[in-house]
Amino acid sequence: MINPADLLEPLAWSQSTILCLLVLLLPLFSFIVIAILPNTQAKASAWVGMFMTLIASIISVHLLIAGWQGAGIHSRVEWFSFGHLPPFTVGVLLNDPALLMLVVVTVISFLVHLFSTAYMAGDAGYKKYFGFLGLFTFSMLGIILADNVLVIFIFWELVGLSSYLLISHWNHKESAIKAAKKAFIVNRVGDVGFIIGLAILWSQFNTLDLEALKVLMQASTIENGQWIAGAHSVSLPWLTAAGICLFLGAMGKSAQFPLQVWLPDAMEGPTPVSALIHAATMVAAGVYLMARVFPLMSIDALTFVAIIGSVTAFMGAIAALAQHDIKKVLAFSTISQLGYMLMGMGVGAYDAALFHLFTHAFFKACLFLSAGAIIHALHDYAHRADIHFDAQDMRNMGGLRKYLPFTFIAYLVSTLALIGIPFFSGYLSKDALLSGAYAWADLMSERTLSWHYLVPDLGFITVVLTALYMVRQLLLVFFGDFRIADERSIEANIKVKDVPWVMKTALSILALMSFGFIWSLNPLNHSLSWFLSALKTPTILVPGMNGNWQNNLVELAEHNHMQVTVISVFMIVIGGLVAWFIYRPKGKYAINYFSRQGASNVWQWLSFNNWYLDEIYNDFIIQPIEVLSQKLQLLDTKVIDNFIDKFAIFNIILGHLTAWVDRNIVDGLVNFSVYFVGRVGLMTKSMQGGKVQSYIALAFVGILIFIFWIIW
Amino acid sequence: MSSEYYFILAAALFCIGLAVIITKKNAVMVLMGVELVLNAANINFVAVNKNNLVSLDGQFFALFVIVMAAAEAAVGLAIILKLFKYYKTTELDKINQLKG
Amino acid sequence: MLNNYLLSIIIFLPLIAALVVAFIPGKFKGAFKYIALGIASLQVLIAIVLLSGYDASYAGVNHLNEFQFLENVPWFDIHLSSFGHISADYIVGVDGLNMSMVLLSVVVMLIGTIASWNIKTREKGYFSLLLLLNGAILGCFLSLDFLLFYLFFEFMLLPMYFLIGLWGGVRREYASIKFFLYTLFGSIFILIAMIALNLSVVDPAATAVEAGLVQEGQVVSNEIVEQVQQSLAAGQLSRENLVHTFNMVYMTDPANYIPGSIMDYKVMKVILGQEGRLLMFLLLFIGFAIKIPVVPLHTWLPDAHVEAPTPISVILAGVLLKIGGYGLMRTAFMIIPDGVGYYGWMMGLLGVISIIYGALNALGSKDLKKMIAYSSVSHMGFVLLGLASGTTEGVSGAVYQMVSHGVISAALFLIVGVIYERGHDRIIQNYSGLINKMPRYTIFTVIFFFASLGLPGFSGFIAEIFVLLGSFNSSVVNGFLPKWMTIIAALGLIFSAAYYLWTIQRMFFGKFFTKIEVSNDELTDLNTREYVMLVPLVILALLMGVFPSFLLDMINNSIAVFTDVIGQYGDIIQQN
Repeated sequence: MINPADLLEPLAWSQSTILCLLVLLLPLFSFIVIAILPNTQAKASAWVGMFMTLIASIISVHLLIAGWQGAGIHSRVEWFSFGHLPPFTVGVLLNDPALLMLVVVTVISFLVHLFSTAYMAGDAGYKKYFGFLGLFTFSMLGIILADNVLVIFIFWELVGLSSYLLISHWNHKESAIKAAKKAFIVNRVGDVGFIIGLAILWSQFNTLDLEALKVLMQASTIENGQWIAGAHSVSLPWLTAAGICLFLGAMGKSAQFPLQVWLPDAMEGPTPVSALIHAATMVAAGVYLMARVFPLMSIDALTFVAIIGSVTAFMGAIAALAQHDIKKVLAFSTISQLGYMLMGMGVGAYDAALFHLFTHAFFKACLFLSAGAIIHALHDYAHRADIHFDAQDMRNMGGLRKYLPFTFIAYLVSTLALIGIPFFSGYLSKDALLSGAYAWADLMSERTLSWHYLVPDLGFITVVLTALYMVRQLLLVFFGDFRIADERSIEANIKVKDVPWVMKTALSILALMSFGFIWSLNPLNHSLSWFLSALKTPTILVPGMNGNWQNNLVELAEHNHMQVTVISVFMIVIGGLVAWFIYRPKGKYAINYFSRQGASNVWQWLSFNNWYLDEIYNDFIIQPIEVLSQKLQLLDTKVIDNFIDKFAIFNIILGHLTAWVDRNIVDGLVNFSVYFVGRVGLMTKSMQGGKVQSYIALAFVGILIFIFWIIW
Repeated sequence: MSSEYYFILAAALFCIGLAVIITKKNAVMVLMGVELVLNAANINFVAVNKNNLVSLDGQFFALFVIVMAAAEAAVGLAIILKLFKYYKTTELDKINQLKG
Repeated sequence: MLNNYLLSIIIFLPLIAALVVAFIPGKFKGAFKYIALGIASLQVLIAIVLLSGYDASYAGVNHLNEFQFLENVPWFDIHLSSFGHISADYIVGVDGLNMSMVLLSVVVMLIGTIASWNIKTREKGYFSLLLLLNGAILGCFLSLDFLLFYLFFEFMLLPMYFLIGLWGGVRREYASIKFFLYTLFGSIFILIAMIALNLSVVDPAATAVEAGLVQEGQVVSNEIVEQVQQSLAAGQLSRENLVHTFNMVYMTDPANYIPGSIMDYKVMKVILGQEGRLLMFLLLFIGFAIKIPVVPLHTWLPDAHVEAPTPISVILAGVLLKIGGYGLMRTAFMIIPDGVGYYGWMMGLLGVISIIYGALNALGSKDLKKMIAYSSVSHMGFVLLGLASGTTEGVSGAVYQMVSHGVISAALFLIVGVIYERGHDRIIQNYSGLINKMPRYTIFTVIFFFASLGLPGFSGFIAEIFVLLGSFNSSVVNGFLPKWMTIIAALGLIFSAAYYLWTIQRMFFGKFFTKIEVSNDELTDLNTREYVMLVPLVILALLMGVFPSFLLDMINNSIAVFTDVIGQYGDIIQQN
């Protein structure tokens, strides 16, 4: 039996640990400095934020180069302890995925800072905005570095807070505040699952340290349907429940079905925030969490993850089809891609899922920032032309490639990456994912026809849909005519201006990362990428695990890779062609697009309203809870209080009753005796008539009586 | 002659005296009733001592009572006079300030 | 020298000051608040001295000699011939269970005194009552003699009743009477249990003197005590020589119980179809549950809070509620640990109901103060759930929650006070967009709302997460609580996020609007006095959230003993 306390000895700090902590604390420092800065120094806040994140990204790149494929770092100190339980530790656990995440987060954060200096210029909340960006970066880095699931949860909640604060940045907008609230509460739903997951692990192992958990998990056994770890044992389903509960947390943060509803609304925040938080980093935290706890997930739990992931990928892609808001399309696309990643985790393609996380982080950030650049340019245009229109609505766009050529190229590159065209980064990672999923289905179904094939199939359908909605967006935004200008017949001399160079810098770096050759020397074969060959899938340590399961998966995936590539490229071509056919410039759809309202048939409405999930939740969860809460208020004031008041009134009545008894019966006896005596007095009064003679007579009678009494 | 007759006489006299005291309205008449009662007692004293030849206690007591009665009558009449002066009447029914 | 009487000083200093204030002529009314402030600050200083002299390695709890700063003076000893003696002592001391409570109460009392700065009517009465309350609260936390505890517990009601009833809002009479009667109702149950305990427990040391085993004035050695306990168990002591005691520490030792008495742990006496000890546990639980408060015995709280003036709400939520939790730990749990296993399930369920019910009611409240009052019910539900779990992390979490809630709810009521003072209105819907007029106020509100909804980094998170972990663990460790209770309780976290964020959305964000006309110079941002109150609370909540070891190290040994005692009985119950 392993004593958990032995696994929790403090671990020494190295130079790298201190660098990690520096990376972690620099953004926090930026937040604090900006908070202290006086309101007049708004410009300085951007510089502070940029400077801190730049240093943090330089240090992270240094750490990556120094520590890549190394043994990893694990430093740990004791945080606090309870009674005689093993101490609670906190520390830094740096392995290859963490190193990569570190770089991705700091670099994208820096680029977003850079981009925002132009995008947010002149905003009233400029200083606040950069402060919160610092807070977010700090919390996100915390998730990456923490070696303890509870500490991950702590930073998990903190990114939720920063997300809340940033979405509600324009806090005079009702929709923004509601979106922020929704994001936080929906995330909380997932977090409750996360807490239960923590509780299961805690009650079995009495620690939440990741490394210790792995050792203890491996040492735990299954006997007679009981999952036994040391002195603690629970029934077996809790083992799977632990994994599913942790995944619930990931479901919230990574916007997985059925908790994906918050992400489209979160687009109310400033667009660079959407790029950083709601596309590249925070929403990927769920995938990263799954990667961290991957060895603790049972096969059943992973299957659950795979199903949810593939369903979300499909649902997100469908919902992206009929949107008119440029950011909403990207938001649903993010949901869909996150579904891919979690499907990858679920099918055991750990490395592919992480790979997709990184490639997606760059090209989706690039897409969002490009969208931001477009919105920025259109706002500027609207301001100069003095017309009011929704700068995010694609119906008001069209033909922008002429005015924003640089943005167009960046957008095109990242779109191709997202669709998964060969030679672009998305192709590599998506292929790895799909072959993994296919291999998993083969293995799980033992090559018989089974529902397991639905998982990769949904993945393939999503490939078609992805190509469809992205090509649609590309065509509607950049090709054809500039619709708002045509419709409003604006004077020719006012044109959409190109965006400032800071934006272009950020876009170009991100677009560069979307090319396949960055990630793999052979951009056609993902298995040759430096990334995948370096990442090792950790062994699943859950008791009762078939040791060959993971090896079989890898073999099968390599085996079917060629088929998957062919199928998916074929799918992309179909999707792209269909999109071109429907949405081509001068086509029927494009010509009528400006005056298009919502959607035209049931399926489009379904897509437009994101499967009516919001309405369903509103009718079946939110409304009943609101009604319940009001009813409970009534219960409190009308029933319980009423009972108390009635009880009090009953007591008062009882009091009156006893008072009556007191007055009339107890007092009555006293009064009666007084009355009686009084009557007697009245009766005898007449004897004292003041007549001397009658006194004498009475005295005589008295003496007589006395004498008689003595004699007898 | 047995003493019985003296006692009967005395009792009769006492009763007459008492009746006079209780029934008469005039204070003087009441005083006279008192004299009768006292004399009834005197008769008893003397009658009881009739057969005792050694001592004359009864007789002496009777004499003493007579003297006392004279004094008492004097005081009583003086009070009645005072009462008459104050109330302008000697009717006992009217002098009822003791009434509760 | 003075060190030996620190606890008496901290208790009686405000009581004496209350008398002094009462005798100062009314024309010096400006001086009263300074006296109260001086006393409260002095108490904080004494508490710091206490803290510096406090040795966390002693557990206390059920060993009288492990209590620190102990003062033990006989109070009275009445000889009742064949019944024996009834004795009570003046015992005050600190251990891990009440040290944190003392620290919390001096801080909250100081904040409460500063919050009273704007009291402009009947200052003399107000501040003398406030000082009276102050002394009674500390007395309650520090006494180790049940009679003394009960005395202070009851004594607290009097100033509280007048403070709500005289300085309160519109429905103050109703609220104050409701508060008074509710608590008094609970006290009766405690009184019954106290008498039953007194009838059943002897003071072995004093009994030894009475039985002639040692000379009066001599030190009673442990051997003698054991000898007395053995002959007590054997029934060899004459009833006349038994010294019945109110000492709560003696009550924790099963050997001090008279065989065949109501509370005897060996031969359970059945009263009203319930074993005597368990019945007494239930009585104590009801008594303290009203104070905590536990649904459905909570309805005094929203009324009292809504009607009470701001400083009194602060003290009520910050300290008074904790006396319920603390009293439960000190008396019911420690004296009758066998009751925990028996009623653990019920207590856990009530805790869960309080969490959910309080949160839903907060969601439905229209009055900001009422909402926060209900959130108190919800958060105190975590205390009950943690205590009922009987696990180390659960109980630690419960104690942590008491301290954390003391700090955070105090701040929340201050925040309500700020807006009520300026806008003369507390209805949430009557405000909107306050961030535009009062940005700093909004920042503090958002900070405390998030602290209260259990955001990591603030104290509430540590408390709630460990209550949840502990209650979940309970099914494995001692079997008191089923697992589903934790899952339901965790849902409370969603609701608390919902009502706080909804309030932020409605009151603070959006376009500026007030229903009642408020002039611009009235709706000012926070002033210096309010900063002085709020900033320390933010710092405290943050420090406790980031460095939990400060508080946990202080209570760890005591909690370990506490859970061990409960665990032993839990095992017995599981075996049966």
